[in-house]
Amino acid sequence: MAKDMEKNTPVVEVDDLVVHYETYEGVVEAVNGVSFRIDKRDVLGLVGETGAGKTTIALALMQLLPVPPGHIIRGSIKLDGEELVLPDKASGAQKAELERKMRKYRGKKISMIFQDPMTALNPVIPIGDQISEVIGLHEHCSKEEAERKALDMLEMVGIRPERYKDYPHQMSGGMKQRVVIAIALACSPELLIADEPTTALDVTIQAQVLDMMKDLRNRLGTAMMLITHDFGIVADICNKCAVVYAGEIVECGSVEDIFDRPGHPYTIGLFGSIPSLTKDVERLMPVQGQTIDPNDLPPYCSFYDRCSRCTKECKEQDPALTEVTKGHYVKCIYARKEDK
Amino acid sequence: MAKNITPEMEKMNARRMKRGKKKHHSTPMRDAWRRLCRNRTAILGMVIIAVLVLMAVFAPFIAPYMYDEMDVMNMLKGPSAIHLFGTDNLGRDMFSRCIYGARITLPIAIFTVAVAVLTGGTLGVLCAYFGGQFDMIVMRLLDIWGSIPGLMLSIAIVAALGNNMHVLVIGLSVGAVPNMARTFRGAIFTVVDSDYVEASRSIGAGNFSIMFRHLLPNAVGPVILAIVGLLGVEVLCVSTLSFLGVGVQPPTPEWGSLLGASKEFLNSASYLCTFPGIFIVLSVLGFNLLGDGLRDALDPRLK
Amino acid sequence: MALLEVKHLKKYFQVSSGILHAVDDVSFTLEEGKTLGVVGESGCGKSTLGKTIIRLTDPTSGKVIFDGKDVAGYSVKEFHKVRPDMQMIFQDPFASLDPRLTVTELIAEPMRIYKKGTKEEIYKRVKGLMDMVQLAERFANSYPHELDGGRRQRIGIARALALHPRFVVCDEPVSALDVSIQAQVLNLLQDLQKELKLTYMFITHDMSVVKHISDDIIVMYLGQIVEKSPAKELFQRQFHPYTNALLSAIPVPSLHGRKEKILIQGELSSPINPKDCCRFAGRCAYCMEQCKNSPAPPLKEVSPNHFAACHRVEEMQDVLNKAGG
Repeated sequence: MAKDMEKNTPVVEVDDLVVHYETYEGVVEAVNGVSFRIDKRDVLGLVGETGAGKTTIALALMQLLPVPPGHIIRGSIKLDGEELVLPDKASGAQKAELERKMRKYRGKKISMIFQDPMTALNPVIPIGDQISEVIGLHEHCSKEEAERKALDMLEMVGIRPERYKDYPHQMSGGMKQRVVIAIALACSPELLIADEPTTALDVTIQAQVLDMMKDLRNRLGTAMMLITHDFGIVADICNKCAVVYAGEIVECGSVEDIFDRPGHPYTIGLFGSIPSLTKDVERLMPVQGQTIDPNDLPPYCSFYDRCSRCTKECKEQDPALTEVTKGHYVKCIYARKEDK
Repeated sequence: MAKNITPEMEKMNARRMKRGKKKHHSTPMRDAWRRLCRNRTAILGMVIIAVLVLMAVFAPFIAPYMYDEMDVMNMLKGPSAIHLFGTDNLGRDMFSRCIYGARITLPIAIFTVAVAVLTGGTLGVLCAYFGGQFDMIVMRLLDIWGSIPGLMLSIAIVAALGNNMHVLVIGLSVGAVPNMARTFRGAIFTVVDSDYVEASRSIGAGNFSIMFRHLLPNAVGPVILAIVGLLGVEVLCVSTLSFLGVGVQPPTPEWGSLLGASKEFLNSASYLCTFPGIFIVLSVLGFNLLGDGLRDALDPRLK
Repeated sequence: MALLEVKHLKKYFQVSSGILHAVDDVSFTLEEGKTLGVVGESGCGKSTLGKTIIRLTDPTSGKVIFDGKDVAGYSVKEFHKVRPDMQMIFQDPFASLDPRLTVTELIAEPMRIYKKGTKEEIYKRVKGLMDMVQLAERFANSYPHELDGGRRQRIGIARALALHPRFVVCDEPVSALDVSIQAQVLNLLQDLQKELKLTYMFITHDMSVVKHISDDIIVMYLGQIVEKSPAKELFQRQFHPYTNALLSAIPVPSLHGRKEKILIQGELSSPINPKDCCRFAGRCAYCMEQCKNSPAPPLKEVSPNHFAACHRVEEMQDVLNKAGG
């Protein structure tokens, strides 16, 4: 019973989110009608190429979009059931109220790890103090208690407590990323957003960090949204996966759906682009053409120009996400036909 | 054509259409220029400078009298319809003298900056590119050089070499060389480790080609900024020297010397020093406004 | 005869805290028309190795025998004559192209420097090169920042090929690119190799890419080669614990046949004034007293053309294959 209840309230639910950047050069349609939900213990992998709008989605969730030029056009973001997108005609007081609330939530309910651990830490404050500062801000506890908790966090991410007083420049990249993760997790948030958390790291260090994140998920049940371009990482740690192209989710489902039964030509193309470690492939079968310019999207299927199996009909409409099997959605007009 | 058309987008698209979809290849410089044109203070600065330059070029057509023409009937007369800015103690028309003054002050300032940029700039580029011992020695020498107040150095040089335009230009530029060298060196330093420098070396490019074809054009932002700033400073320096009587000598109507000559009449005919003063202030203001605008336009963070 | 033979190549840098051993006694040979993959983590000296071979930095000692001549001892002027034969494709297509030059100017630059013909001839060749790297002609007057990563890297490739090189160092040419573009560029590089009979030295940290493109692979750790083997064989069996851990650390983009990862502990130790012992000893799970106290192990041939530098190389195959599952 209790389990069912827990299942029914998603940690975060995004519905038909549209985000534009309005610049002097024109409108960048960064996110175009994205919907997804993340439940407790879920790890959602958001896969896509540069400029697909992955980071914009994350920033919108954090309410950290640079405004201007960023602008949520429509849609809803519900964090723990609470709406974060204000109606168009929201008053200044409402905005201030939301910002005040978000300041309380960031770090406590929802945290984000940025791509580059080297710049996310303050170089003149010892790492331990940077962790205890976050705890002190959100939990209203004494300084000693915050420090004790910070030591626990360090231990959890695998850093020896002696290094509490170390400064960021005394640590290596992997270590710094662990500290960043410790800060993000210090107040046990319900949702952790990780934007390419291991891209700046070496493979052996990446393996250590991923291992640690998996361990945290298992122990604390933190829901995570992992932004990456690497299917290997998705296979390693996620249970759900969404493929993003031109600001739209073109395919989403469980990792089994995506890896074993990919339905969208883009997903198939991405898999064909990765050189295999296990099989010998003479020639890669990549997606043709270049990533689409989000400055100038067509009203029909965004993938039309690069698609290997497009037809005339594709140019006539913008396909909707179609459910091919339970929980597995594909945004292609041929998705259902193929499935049969 | 778009997925989600909003009112804002329609406005944007309309604006884009209006500008016409001329596909300019945007370069960083062209982008900066576009930003500069959107900056009001910079436009004001440019207008001021343009007016002063035009004034200098067309002085004979604008000025009602020759700068040394004496109207003995009207000596030390205040501004009037015949003499817009009044006349000095010899009955010369101040308006004409101020206009002709632009022909003296501005070229001296510009040549001074040119000499300083050529010598100091070259030193700075060489220092940044070769680094090591060469850089160390040159920079320490420049430090010593720069620790002597520029104006004193200029006065000393003009006093020693005699007073003419060439000496004045050299004397003034000497004071500016260390600063220019430091600016160029710093600007080049920010790009000297770029990958494209190594890439050029890998296809066999020589030092000279790398320095002047790749490094300098990419470091041009802070350099332009420094040059415009220096122009303002040099206008002041030329005027200061003349005011002190070591620069341009009367009767040549340099703004500083006009100011110097009229200081005896500060109480009786205050308009005499007001007008040359306004021109000095205007030109310095013009260069500084332009400099500020350039700083905003060239700083990519403010995009 | 081998096109390139590198013998005991060393490159040390003097830094404030001592001597940094970026490349420490590296030797290998490379046949014409083949691809040598160089893998390792950041800071292992793989890029420095490439740059030292084509003399973007001067070697500290050692020989680089290119086409029968030792070019490591050449003066700048002498090297200028062989440089057209040895070119490089750079890692970051965003930083390695001068932002103030157009595509045409960028591709023409090497030919301009080597005075290959008149202006018209050069422009004709630029067109040919753009065609060769599949860069549409309409980009001829674009600036690099107007193009995406894949197209920029094609400019980089065209520049490298402009002087008809025989040997090309590819320094992480695809790691800054998106996967779909990465695959396009890899295909292009393979096609060009066949067409122009190029010899590649392919530096990367991406194991799947290096497996795909290489004939032979050397694995580097802190400036030294720890394992050297034909590409296919290396992925079947490893004799050095580091190679083994490196391979197991790669996240495999598949849900099936996943192996338990072998995590190596700790971080890269410093390449500044390293101790004369096995450099991997501090992180190695199979480290013994001998590994920490005796001089670094030499490369030993464990099976035909497969070399590994480990004191316990004989036992390693059994141990690692068991651990790897």
